Amino acid sequence: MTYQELQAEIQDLLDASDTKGIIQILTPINVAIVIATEEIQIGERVVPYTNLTSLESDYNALFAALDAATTVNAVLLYFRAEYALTAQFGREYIETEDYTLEALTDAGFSNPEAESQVRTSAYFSYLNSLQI
Amino acid sequence: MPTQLVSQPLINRPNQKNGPLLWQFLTDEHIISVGRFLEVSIAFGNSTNPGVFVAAADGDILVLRGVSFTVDNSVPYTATTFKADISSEDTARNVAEMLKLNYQFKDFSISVDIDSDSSQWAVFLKSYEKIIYSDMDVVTDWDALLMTGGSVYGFSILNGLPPVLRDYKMWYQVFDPSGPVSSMRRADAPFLPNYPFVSVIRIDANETARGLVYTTRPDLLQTEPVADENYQRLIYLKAGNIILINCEPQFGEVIQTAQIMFVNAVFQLHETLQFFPHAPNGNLDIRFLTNRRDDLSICGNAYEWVHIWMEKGIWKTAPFKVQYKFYGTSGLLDTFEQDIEDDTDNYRKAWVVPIGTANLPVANNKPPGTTYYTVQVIATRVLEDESTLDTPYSQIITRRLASCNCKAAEVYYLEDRGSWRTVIFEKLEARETRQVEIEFERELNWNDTAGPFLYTEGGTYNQAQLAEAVFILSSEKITEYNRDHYEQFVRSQEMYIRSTTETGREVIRRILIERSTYRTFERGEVTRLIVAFRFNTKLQLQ
Repeated sequence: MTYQELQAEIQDLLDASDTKGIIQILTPINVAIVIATEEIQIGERVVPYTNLTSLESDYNALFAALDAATTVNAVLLYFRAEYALTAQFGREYIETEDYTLEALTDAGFSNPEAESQVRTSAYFSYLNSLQI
Repeated sequence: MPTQLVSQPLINRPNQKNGPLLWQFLTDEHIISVGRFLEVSIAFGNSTNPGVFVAAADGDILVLRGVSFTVDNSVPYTATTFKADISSEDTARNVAEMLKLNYQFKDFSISVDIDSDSSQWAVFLKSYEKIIYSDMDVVTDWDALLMTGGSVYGFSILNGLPPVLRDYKMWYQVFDPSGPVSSMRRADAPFLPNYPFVSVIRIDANETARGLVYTTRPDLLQTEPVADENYQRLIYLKAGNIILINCEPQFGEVIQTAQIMFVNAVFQLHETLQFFPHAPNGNLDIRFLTNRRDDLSICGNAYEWVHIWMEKGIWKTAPFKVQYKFYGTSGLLDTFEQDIEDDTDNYRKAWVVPIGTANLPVANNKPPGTTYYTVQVIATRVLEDESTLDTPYSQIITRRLASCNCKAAEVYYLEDRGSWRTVIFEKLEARETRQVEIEFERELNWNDTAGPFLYTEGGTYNQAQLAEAVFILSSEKITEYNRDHYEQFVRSQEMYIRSTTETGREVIRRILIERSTYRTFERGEVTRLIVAFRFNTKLQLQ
């Protein structure tokens, strides 16, 4: 993907209000394209890699920031090295949340969205407890 | 610390053995300055009338990079001449085409456009390399041009600079929870001149990790589901920057990654779902760690095992149990359950479930009259009102009892996904003793004129250096239904045969098959797998 194609892709996702889609394309290679094109230095580390609970918190903040962004340039501000791992964690989080939502909906839960968020968060807390 | 971890193996699902086990870092730590390309612009025109270039006369000279170019208004351009037209655009294009033809300018990209600073048509040169050009000064016979009425409105040059790099490497080491499992290694940060602001360092720990996991060999005496502690391993990476100053390493901060789960399973590239169906995935029944069919026939006295990934998921959680259901012609005869309990309550590991008719959980609990039985792992789910309910965790495996009069051998092989699978060979086709011979000579007893020792001592001797018993087995007919089964068998890295000792005790013996080409389909023929195997132990020699 070229820088121009990436910008067009982001515009399409903004038009569709698809924040999860933006998380999907916030990949290391796309980050590298932005950094190289805009001649941006690599920023400081903001995420503790080993703490999944902290990663989850950072992902929620990243999601909120991208959700509030309305322009391509505002989105591109987050195509930085320090957000790439957070976005990868986010993709795993989204996958887990999506199939949980499907299961809870099938099971007839009254508020499956909220419940899937609670359970997904609890699941990653469980995975975090297995970390050293 | 401008080195960022930007990708890692999956956290929420196990990572299988095939494919890279990749941590990626972005860094610019190795770059002091990125350098730049040489850029030259030559604008044609004049300030009072942009776009109009007052033609120079034949013989006027433009010198660039030590090369003299001459105005020749008879032809648009050659490799050394250009037509100085009244149109500044035409003049710029003539100069550009002239430069493209000239060998001295082959290392530059040459274009024509309106110069943003002067609003004049201009020729632009850009170098392909980031180096300093010592011969790009403005050396022109501009006076001559001006004297004859021509004009070059602007000329600028930004010389190239090479990048300045630091002697930089990244160290890394693979750990598991008990400590390091690899030596400390170093990775270089590649520098790409056209992609200079960042480098990607890819650390692939697959070769290290795949040596850490294996499937525990099958246990004929297994009485209940047991965890296979060798099937999986938690691993993580420690890494950091090294800057070498006069060859002395200066170490930066240590980056410690999250732990990821690595398992002894491989998937073929057409199996695009990879591990997803085998781990918690919502409402779907988790697949056992095999791709054998759910519903198969089984001999009356056959061992079979299957691994399953156990994990406290979101929707299906502990407590877990294995449920055997035995059916006769009249319906369900009996149900037998065994708990799957992890002492640490962590789960997140593979368990071995015995499912064959000879395995003790089935053999000891199968009621008379059983025609088939099912095996399923059951989990618990928490409903909206906090009540709990038994729920299927896994798919259902069905085994239908069949007569197997022609069973010559029962072999257990390691499947792609790390379970032990049973293969029955119907016939023993042949049995061989293969030997490696060595031959040597001794002197004959020439003095024995009477003869008794002349013919028995000396001369040629031979003996076996090693001898092995080789058995050639023939499988059942291969069809599309079971072809994958045999293809996995012949590529399996480990296999055992069911055997008995001289005291009658049942044991398994490790066997080796020939690693060669096996045909599993032949048009117009009934295909059977003919395979020769030998034990891992040699025959003892006198």
